[in-house]
Amino acid sequence: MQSDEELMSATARGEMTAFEMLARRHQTSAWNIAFRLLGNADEAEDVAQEAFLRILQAAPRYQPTAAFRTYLYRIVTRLCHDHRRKTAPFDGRDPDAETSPEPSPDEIAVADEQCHAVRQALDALPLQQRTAVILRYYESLRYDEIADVLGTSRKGVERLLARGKAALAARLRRFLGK
Amino acid sequence: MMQCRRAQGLIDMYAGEEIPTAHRAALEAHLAACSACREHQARLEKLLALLRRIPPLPPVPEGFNDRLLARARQRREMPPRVPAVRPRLRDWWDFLRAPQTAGAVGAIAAGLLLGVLMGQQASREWSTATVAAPEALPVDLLGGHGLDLLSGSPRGSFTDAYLSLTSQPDGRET
Repeated sequence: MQSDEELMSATARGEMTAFEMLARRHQTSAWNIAFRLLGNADEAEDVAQEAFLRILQAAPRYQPTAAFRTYLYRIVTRLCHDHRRKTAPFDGRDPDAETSPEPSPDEIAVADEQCHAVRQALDALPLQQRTAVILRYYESLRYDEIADVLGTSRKGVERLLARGKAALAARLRRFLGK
Repeated sequence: MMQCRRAQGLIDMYAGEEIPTAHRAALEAHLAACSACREHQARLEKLLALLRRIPPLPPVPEGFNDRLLARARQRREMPPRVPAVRPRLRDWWDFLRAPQTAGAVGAIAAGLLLGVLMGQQASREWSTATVAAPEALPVDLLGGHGLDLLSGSPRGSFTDAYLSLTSQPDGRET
């Protein structure tokens, strides 16, 4: 099986089959992070596809300094953040601290209370903290990988995660007990 | 002995089995001795379990890859953006070589040359006249150009009238 780096080299030479293989191999990762950050299937698909198109465009300049998956996460995350900033209505609040809209009565009826509370608590986090939490606890990235994706240091990731967990624990206090 | 703050910062890495080997033993010793940090660890484990209660995400939409490849082909077929090109030296040369441009440029150049020659001749004549007869210059420069207002006794002023009354026709004062 060809490595991601080999497929990127072939993509840079204009081999579309290599690009297709790369996209098939990593489409779930791109889709998952986009969906977790945007919470909307259409927007998540658009952003995930745009990330692959940027990779195709930049293939001749690609330097394998980090794992391809980290590179992909970095592009998807940046696109999601840009998308969030553009679409978030300006109402004087911190643009990074937008909350999800109120769920419909059907959604509430179907959703488990804890699950709904977790979603709301995640959505209430500032964008950088939310991204760090998602990459760590849902996508199982290491600290140094998260630092690479977010363009920060390992210490910066520690701080983001510490604040994120503290905010989540405060919001989910009633489920955590003493 | 490791401090509680440091230990609690490492517990997350410990849970993810990412803790540096050098710190693992120290953290385990601290956890064995510190009930507050054990409580912190238990709360973190509860929180992570709660975070995992979110149901799995929907799968990647069907046809994702086909739509992606269609977009990729579409972008490749699009003509590349043409940047604004500045005229090259060659374009300027072609422009200058055109017959109508050459005529216009020639006329302008001839006019400029004629102007320079005339200017040089006039300058030579003026400097010769100045050197040859410096006394020919008007003595009363201010009055001659109607600028006697700047002098000590402008024409028509009280001082001028007094000076004309008290002066002899030959210019001497009485």
